[in-house]
Amino acid sequence: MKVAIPVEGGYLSPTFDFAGHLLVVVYKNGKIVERQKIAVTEQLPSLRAARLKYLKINTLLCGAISNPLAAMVWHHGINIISGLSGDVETVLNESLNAGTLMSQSTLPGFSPTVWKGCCRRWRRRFRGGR
Amino acid sequence: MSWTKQELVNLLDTIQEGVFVIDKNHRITFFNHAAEKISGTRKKEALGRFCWEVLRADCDGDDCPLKKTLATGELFSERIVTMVSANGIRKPVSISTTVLRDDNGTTTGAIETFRDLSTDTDRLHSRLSDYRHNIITIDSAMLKIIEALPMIADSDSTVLIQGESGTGKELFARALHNLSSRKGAPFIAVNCGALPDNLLESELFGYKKGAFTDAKKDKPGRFALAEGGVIFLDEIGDTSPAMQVKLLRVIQEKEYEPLGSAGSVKADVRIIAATNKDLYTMANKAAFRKDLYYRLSVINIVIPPLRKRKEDIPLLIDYYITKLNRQQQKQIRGIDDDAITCLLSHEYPGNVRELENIIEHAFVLCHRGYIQMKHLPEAVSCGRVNNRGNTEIKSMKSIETAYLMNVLKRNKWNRGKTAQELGMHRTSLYRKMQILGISPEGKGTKKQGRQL
Repeated sequence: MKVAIPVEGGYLSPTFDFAGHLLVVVYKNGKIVERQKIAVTEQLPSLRAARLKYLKINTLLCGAISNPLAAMVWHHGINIISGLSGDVETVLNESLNAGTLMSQSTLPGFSPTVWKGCCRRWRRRFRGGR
Repeated sequence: MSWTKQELVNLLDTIQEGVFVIDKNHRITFFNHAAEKISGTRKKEALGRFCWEVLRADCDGDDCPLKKTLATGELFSERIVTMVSANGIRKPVSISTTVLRDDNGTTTGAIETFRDLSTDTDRLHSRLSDYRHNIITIDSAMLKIIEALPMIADSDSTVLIQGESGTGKELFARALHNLSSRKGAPFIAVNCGALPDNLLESELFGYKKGAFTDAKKDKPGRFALAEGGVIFLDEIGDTSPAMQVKLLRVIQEKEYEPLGSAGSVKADVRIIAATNKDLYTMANKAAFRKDLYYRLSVINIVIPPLRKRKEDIPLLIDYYITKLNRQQQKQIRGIDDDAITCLLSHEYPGNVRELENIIEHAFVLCHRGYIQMKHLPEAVSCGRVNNRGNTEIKSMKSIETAYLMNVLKRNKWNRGKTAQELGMHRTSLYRKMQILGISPEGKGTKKQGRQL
């Protein structure tokens, strides 16, 4: 499994939309086998989402994410767990040890959320009808 | 008159702007009611947290104005940033910061006030009259260009305006004309891409009686009509190499020859050219004359596309609603939150012209009240990934199928665990699997279901 985490100086970036770097971690048999820090320069939501697809990311662990960007990321078949906060190592350890990608510390106003796809509003737009 | 702390808190809670205070460790110590509303974060959750975790704007890190204010005492006023609220809405906000000091002058923290520009229509109305040269913008790159316009207008140098289609290149050309000493003389615009070569030549330079079969009398060209004023050559990148040579001569020698004329005519005209193409690259690839490119780009203005200045979108929407209300005698009150969120996430390949058309489209369908999602054209891609992102548009069913398959595989086809992860009841999951044609045995999808 390949996981991407937007990072800013060792901490989870508060917003994936504006994060400058991604930590890409590859898990195999419950262990981290590869980690790489990548600069993200794409500002447009569609390009940012396409970058994740290009990197073959399976899951995105992030803080805040805007609805349009979340819809685009999800559209690429990438799972999203949002509302996370704190230092990257804690989030990684939790995900590795507990097997569930959940962090104890969350962004104010959020609870760790597994994005379950589009709400009705976005779904209507995906269908092309309103 | 002295105020108690509670009175000050009450006062700050009544104002429309979000206000928060941080201590020296960047942790929030005060958060007012409007800040709760704009950020979507409750006061009790925000207090004690880092400011960047609550504001979630595109200026965190070293670029954060509040950090700079705390570190250096530098004040920031009306800086436009984009934030993501707790409910996932991208909002353009205007922030101002100031330092907080105690009686001894020691820095104890900093204050930030912020205002939601996406709903701030009353203020925008009053600011419409402030926009200079009819260019509606609060974008810093655009404001820099506007600042430089009077100086550019003062000179007589050739100007090349570059920008994507629909960014308002002619608006800038007209602004230059209005600011210059040639203001009283004509401004003549010519679309060079719209005419074939020989027609363009007679259109620009005019012709003499008898120059060709139907030339029964002299006709002045656009250069002659613009005498003493400004000629605006739009789509200059679409001109043929032969035409480019003629234009080069006009720019260099300040004279031209009308068709059928034996002599040259002097031209006292300022030339402003515009293109939506990358002339520099074209010149390097020999698709455009290098000498003409350098002659044209004495002053080069590059207008950023609308997708790179999204803070202008609410202003432009507001402007077009006001304009169309007046033109069509309607009373559309504004645009609702869903629709503006959608418009803020659209990428505008057609730039401002596209936005204007979207609002005009909405005006046809919306009779009163607020413009809603249903009034926007289908082409507005709110959250949809379109072909510009090089991705295929897939049906909702196929996306749902793929997602469900992923979760089922992850849970080793245990439907109880899958339902729990998806936050739905087991029976709802069965029903969903039946609708999508996913086999319960984990042997892939049935005929009607398709995997991505």
